[in-house]
Amino acid sequence: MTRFILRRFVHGVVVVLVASVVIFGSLFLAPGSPITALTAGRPVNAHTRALLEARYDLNAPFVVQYVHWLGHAVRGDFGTSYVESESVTAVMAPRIATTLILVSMCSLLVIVVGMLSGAVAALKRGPIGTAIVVAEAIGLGIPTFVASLLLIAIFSVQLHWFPVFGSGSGFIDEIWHLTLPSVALALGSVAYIGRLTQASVEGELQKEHVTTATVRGLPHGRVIRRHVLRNAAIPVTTASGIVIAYLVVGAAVVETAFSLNGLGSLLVSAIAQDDFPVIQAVSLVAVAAFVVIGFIVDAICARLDPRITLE
Amino acid sequence: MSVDGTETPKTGSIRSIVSMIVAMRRIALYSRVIARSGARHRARWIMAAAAIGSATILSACGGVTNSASSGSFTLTTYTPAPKGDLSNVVWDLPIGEPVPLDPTKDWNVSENEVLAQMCDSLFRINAAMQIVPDLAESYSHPNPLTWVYNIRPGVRFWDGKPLTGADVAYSLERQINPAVGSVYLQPAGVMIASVRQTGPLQVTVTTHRPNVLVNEMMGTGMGVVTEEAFTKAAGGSYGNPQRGVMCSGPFEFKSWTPGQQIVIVRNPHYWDKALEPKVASVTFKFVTDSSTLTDALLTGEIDGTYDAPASSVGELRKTSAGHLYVGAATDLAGLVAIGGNTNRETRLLAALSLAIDRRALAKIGYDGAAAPIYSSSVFPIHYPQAAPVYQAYNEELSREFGQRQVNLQQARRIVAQVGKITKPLTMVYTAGITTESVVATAIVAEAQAVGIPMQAVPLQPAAVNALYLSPAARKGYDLLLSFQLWTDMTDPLEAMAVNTLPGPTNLSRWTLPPAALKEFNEANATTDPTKRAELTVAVDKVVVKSSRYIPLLYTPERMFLGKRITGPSASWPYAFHYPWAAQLGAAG
Repeated sequence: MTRFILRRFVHGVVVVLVASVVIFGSLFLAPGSPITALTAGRPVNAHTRALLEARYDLNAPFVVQYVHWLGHAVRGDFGTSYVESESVTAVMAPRIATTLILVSMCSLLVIVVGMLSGAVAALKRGPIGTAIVVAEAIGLGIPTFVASLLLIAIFSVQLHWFPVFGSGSGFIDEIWHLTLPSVALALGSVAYIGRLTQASVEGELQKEHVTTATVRGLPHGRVIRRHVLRNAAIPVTTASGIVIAYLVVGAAVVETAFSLNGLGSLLVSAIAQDDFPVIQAVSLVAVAAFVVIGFIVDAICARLDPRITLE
Repeated sequence: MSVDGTETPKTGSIRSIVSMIVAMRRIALYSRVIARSGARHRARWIMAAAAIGSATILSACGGVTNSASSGSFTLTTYTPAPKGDLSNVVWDLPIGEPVPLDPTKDWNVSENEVLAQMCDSLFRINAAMQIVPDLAESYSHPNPLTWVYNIRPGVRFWDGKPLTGADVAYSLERQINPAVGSVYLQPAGVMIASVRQTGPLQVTVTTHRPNVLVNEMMGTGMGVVTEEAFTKAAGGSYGNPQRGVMCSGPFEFKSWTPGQQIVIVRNPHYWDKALEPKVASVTFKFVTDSSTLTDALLTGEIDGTYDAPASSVGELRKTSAGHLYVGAATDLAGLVAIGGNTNRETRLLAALSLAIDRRALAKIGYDGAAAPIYSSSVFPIHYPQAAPVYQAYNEELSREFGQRQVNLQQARRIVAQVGKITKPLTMVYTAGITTESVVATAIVAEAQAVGIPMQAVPLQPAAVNALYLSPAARKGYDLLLSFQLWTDMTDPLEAMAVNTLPGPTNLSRWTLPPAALKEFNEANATTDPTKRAELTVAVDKVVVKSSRYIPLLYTPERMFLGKRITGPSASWPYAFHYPWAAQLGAAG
């Protein structure tokens, strides 16, 4: 198990490193100029341009710029935002907190509601199962932004239960502010994981070892827990990991609709404004989140099925 | 004078159905909204003052009242005076979070809107669009190249240090120092030859050639005075969320949580007793999404905003949650020719200008809260001291160009003369703003109706910015549909300078012919308002004929005030540099 974890860790570091080259390189090649961002799009003369290029080290060769950037990045210094004249770390800090709470609340919904409803739909045929399948179809069909608007229209404008926008301050207030956004964001994922769980459980139910166990007279509950759910959980866990990792920056639509200061909307606005240091930092954080969540998922899967560590 | 909310109260269930329908309607438009989460793009002309009654504006625009829309609009300048104090007001910045609150970087409306509450300029432009004294108690103009500013004595920064001529000279120097890279450097900064402190409370500015615009610019963000010691100590972090600014205005910088809010608090020692704040603090939010902002205004989570969403005018007019005011602005939607400049193209563009039904655009894009305009620089509201000249000119243009049937015939005739058009005209616009895409689609249809093949291409804000900077980025495009082209001042010469003089801000690359340029320079050297206006109009007649800039709509300011607040002026000076928040107070 230790070797397995160590191998996965090295694997993760390599992924982040390769991703950093790709991220830095793609922005280096991308159209649009940091000067545009630095001058807020206002036209400047050649002299000002030259001064800005010198100050932000924009004329150095790619490798020099990359090594310089990476050297600082590993120490948590992602440079200064072109647009905000503030260190990228300071720009990201409050957003990481918002995103963390939002993603945690969503994950909870995805795991609890998604997996539970899927398992119930597979095990309880009849009206309950049908209702769940229909609800899942609706959840998958409603785009996130439509869900956001409907939730705001109903629960904020009409019923006044939740605020229209913002991420709040203080833990309880933040949870209250982020409830509607996390529901809107989780809706599709819950339905997706629900479907997957249902298919997976149904698949396991057909397996020979389950039939054998039932025929051998093992109690039904035990068959379901030990032989069906445990095996069915492996693909579901992997998929949940991917879904949750995606939420880290994939929440841009919801963040915009609810005017939240999360990483997703930061990335979108940074892209619109050519704020390269911020784009690089957020992208790297997203990759790191993928790696970390992937690592957790692997560990859970390894626990569910020890054979995985032998690969 | 306000637009009255004439809502009939609805019962709960009907209300929910209505709001669901509204939500569904928005959904159809929503795909465009996502891209807006970034900084909304406002191209800005540089530089611009005047009290005119609403009636004159209505007549000058050839009838702004749009009977075809859901309502008509009347321009409001002043909202009812507040009846009491408030502890906090939540205000939105629909353009998005400011870039640093440094006066050398306040290029966009959000920065001006916040900075103007904290920092005084040498002059200010008031709600009636007049340039009035602020930190410069008086000024003299001893010769055509020299402006001498006498600074108000007894003014203190928030930290208690006195504001001196040295602070003023330092602040102006920053604006023209190329190493700082101020947004005011082009085209205004470069017109200044020197800035010198000539007394403990006196600063003298000289210009390269006679230039009245430079003096008027002291009423914008360019004339903002910040504390020298604080600014030097802050260095590159001046105006950022942690450092903030050090000024002398009616509100002090309190806090700035990136992505979330900026809080400013009342300056108890403000020198101008007429603008003593009645609210203890103002919290600025950065909600850019038009649906979210509308909902937040309807529920009262946000008390008010300038630049209320154009697509929600109908809802905001009807609600009992507050008032939508429409005020005079120097804001314009138009088409800039960024492609070739051959005789053939010029004629096609002239035909295009005739083919576009501006009244229809006002209806579909702004719910009627906009009016046709035919000059790209001279608005009827410009420059109060010379208002009659500008109004008469706009009426003349309306008579000449405002007749739909005649226009269509002329347009078709021109197109027929031009001959077969093999390549369609390509018009670009900023993606992600509902109004822009709706108007772009309508323009394409109208062009095609008179035989001009045309296509519309949405571009991301950064790509639109690139059009200004690189000829390569403009390649393949003929027209830029630009909304909210606005100026720093109400002097039409400013817009004209940006649009028609050589320089990076002149997107069409069309420049004034020598005779018109001579008149332009003469106008800019003239201090007498009426003479200046007459010369300006003479130049504009040449500009209008060039067809390199097709003005479409004059778009007044839309300000929404929740029912618990009142006071700020509804007109455009908030976007220049006016401490409108000092007028805020309780409505009841």
